[in-house]
Amino acid sequence: MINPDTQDVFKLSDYFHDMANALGDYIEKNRSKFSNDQRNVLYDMQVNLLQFSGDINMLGTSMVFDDVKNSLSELEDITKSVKKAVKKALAVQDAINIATSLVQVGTAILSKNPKEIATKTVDTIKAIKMMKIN
Amino acid sequence: MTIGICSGCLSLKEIKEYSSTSINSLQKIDHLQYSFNEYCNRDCNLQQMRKGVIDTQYNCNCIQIASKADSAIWQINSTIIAYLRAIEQLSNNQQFIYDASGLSGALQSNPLLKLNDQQTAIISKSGNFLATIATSFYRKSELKKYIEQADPVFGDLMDTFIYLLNNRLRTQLKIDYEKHEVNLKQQLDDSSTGKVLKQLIVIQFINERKYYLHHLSLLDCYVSLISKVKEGHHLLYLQREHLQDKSLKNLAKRYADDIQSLAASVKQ
Repeated sequence: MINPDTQDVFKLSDYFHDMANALGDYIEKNRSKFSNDQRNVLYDMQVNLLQFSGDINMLGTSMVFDDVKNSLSELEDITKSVKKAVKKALAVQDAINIATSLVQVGTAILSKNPKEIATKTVDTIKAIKMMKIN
Repeated sequence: MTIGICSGCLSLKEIKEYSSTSINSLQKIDHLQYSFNEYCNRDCNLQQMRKGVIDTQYNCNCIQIASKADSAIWQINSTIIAYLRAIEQLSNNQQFIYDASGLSGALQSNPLLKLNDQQTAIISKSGNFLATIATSFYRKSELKKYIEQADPVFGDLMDTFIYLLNNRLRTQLKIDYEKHEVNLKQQLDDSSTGKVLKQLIVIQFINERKYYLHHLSLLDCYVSLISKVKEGHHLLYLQREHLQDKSLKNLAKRYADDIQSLAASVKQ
């Protein structure tokens, strides 16, 4: 998943980290042999090496974004399809609503009630429109 | 009349539970309280302190690299959450409750059908039942299809996500701690440091170590949590042909339970 170029950046960060730790061990073992100024210079160098390691590590992490771009967009496409599928599944409720309206229209027609027919027809159209919105 | 569908007819409940707990777990990334930006801000403070002078113009730029690094992690996290949310919706039993009150009313008032209440209720129920069977079958087959399609890419993204947190953010936290530790050792070893100041430095060291260990343990918990999320999805993928099996239901439930208990340990 992480491409070799980005992995190399992380390796570089780890090298600096290892060098900083090696310098730290060296200071620890030979502390008494150094003058105060020499010790301070070495400590400053250790902090700088750690600083490089941290900056390079962050750089590598920001580069990962380019490595995973394709996977991100692939999973985004799948997510969109799943969302569409959810809507399709929910359309059964709309089908029930429309069937209900149609039964009501049929009943109104059989009762020969023009006002009722008009009202129920409008309801049916509304139900169909609702389905389209969903 | 609203007719609920028997949950025993569907085996999607556990998948929904797995998705919900996974979403909840992934969102706990905020509880880590550590990021590349946090590192950058702490580093800015340390650098200013090491200069030993008050510099109100000190330029602390965390947008350039630190924010980009955090954004890479955030993008992966939010894409995985969006996918799981969609799976959660597709496996949500509650969305299978249909309101059939209109249908039974219409059937009852139809003079040609001359149905009594009991007959109307039976027809409404069976109509709803058939609709549900059709839909649940559709959902299950869709779930199988998407889990199958998504698992390799889901696995890759989760691996990257885990690597970035477990390896790179962990390294950043270690570097952060080590820098503070070296700075304090330098002050302790300096011949000009007096006894009282040395004690204050030791207190500062204790606090730094506490900060490091606390965030390290949060990171450990979060990584275990998201590793379980990854395992759980792969299990669904391996068992995609048997989405209704009791053993799969138990396994999915176990994953959801494990994730939930791990999530509880990721506290501020």
